Amino acid sequence: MAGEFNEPKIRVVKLGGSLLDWPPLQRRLAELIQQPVEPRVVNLIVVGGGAVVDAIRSYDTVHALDQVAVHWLCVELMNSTTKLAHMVFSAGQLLDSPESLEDWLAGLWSGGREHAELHGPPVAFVCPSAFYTKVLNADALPTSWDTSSDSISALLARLVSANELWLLKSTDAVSCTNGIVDPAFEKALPEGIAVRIINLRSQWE
Amino acid sequence: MPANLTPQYHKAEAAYRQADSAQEELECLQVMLREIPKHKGTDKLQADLKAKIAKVKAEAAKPSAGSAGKATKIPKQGAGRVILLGAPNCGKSQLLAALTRAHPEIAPYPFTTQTPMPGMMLFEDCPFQLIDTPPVTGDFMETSTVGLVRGADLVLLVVDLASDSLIEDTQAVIERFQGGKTRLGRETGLDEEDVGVSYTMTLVCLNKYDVADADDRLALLDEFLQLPWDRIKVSATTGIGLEELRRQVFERLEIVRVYAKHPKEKEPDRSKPFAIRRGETLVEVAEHVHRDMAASLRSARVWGSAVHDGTTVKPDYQPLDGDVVELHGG
Repeated sequence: MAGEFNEPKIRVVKLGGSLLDWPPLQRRLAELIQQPVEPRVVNLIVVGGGAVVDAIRSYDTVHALDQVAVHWLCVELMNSTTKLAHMVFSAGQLLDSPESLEDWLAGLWSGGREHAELHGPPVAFVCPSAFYTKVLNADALPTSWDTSSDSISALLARLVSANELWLLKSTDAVSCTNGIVDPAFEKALPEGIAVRIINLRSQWE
Repeated sequence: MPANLTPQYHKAEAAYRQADSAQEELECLQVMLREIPKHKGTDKLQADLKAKIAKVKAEAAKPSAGSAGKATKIPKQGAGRVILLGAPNCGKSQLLAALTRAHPEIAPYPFTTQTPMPGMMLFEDCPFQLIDTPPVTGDFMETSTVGLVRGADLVLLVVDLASDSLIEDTQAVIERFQGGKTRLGRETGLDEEDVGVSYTMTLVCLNKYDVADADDRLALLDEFLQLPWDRIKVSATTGIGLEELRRQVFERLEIVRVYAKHPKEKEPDRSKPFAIRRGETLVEVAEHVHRDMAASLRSARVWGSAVHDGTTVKPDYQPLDGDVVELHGG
């Protein structure tokens, strides 16, 4: 009765905010994540804060703002950069609520050709509002500048039982031990997950 | 429980048990009150619901506690959610690792699991979400554990047959869930007498059954602590009982797998089933496909054990496990 189960592989892709001003981003990202090597792989994309959050950081150095409040402000701003990246990519779904994330995940585990046709390509952009807010999983990460969007993407990888996590950056992977991956990252990362750090710019330039 | 509760009532009840906020609880309770059949047999339940709504309304009206919410929200995946619950070092993380592709930190000392850790467990072609929780003792339990138990379809209460303190440890876990609003039970659902009290079906996992004196410890457990739930003997390290455990989860959650067939195709897609619960209808299958499909569903053709192949049925048809369906909208 039961057929051979086509188990999906979930890949969380953190798109560095520093890549948002890169003109070929849409094409390069598509080439990277939609290679038809592994047809069962689905991509959940989290987008960093980039220059938007850098601006808050510079204001914080001037005004010494409340760290917890600034953390959540930056997380909220990631909702905007994720929407921006979704507009740039111009494909896939935008998941901006816990319900939309659960609906999308439900499609991974239940079948039918109709479902695939209705739900489109296996790429979705996930706003923090879908999994990390003041109410949802607020204790999961330190609420300070120690927590970057890398850790937030690691949290998503944990919550959805992802198989792998890709960190797309503008810098080389060899630098990752020197502070590019933040102190909270290791704690947030699920044990045993495969992590790749990719300098997206150097791959193509 | 009064007869003839609608599927919408049961859905709202399940959502109520899993609600993360007073506002969500309120919305679910209002649906339950709307959907409950209005007759003498439901008078008490109606009164309970109204009282609960008044209480939750007051809670919802209070100013938000902001970051004091601290709810653990793990997105739901698969046909159901199963929680691993137990004392420190009873082998919950080993079970998660053995049953899923998740790789939790496993160490032979207590309190390794600090945060809930989800993974996906398969029974044949049916996936379930299995969540390892931080250990519970008489002195301490993470607040998020209660919410996870309340929102789960099944709790696997893990008992360590290699531990000389298994009676005290198990007793401590059980006592944590006695007398509160979230309790371990033989069935999952709300209390008939008090809709604020929720039970989650529990299965005892007698883990580490491979150790030499496991039977002796089990005899002691039975002598001093009567566990009112069904049990299964397993070993995460040797694999004893794990296949049976997967089957038990599938059967206890009363899952019905339905395979979709496109009208233009001769064969159904058997790579992934749609999972519904026993008693649910083709409308629920259509909801899995797409909300619009559920609203427009007019009929379906069914290939299965209860009907002749290709029989046309109405949307209220209740499929059986393994049925193939071809949905037709209006």
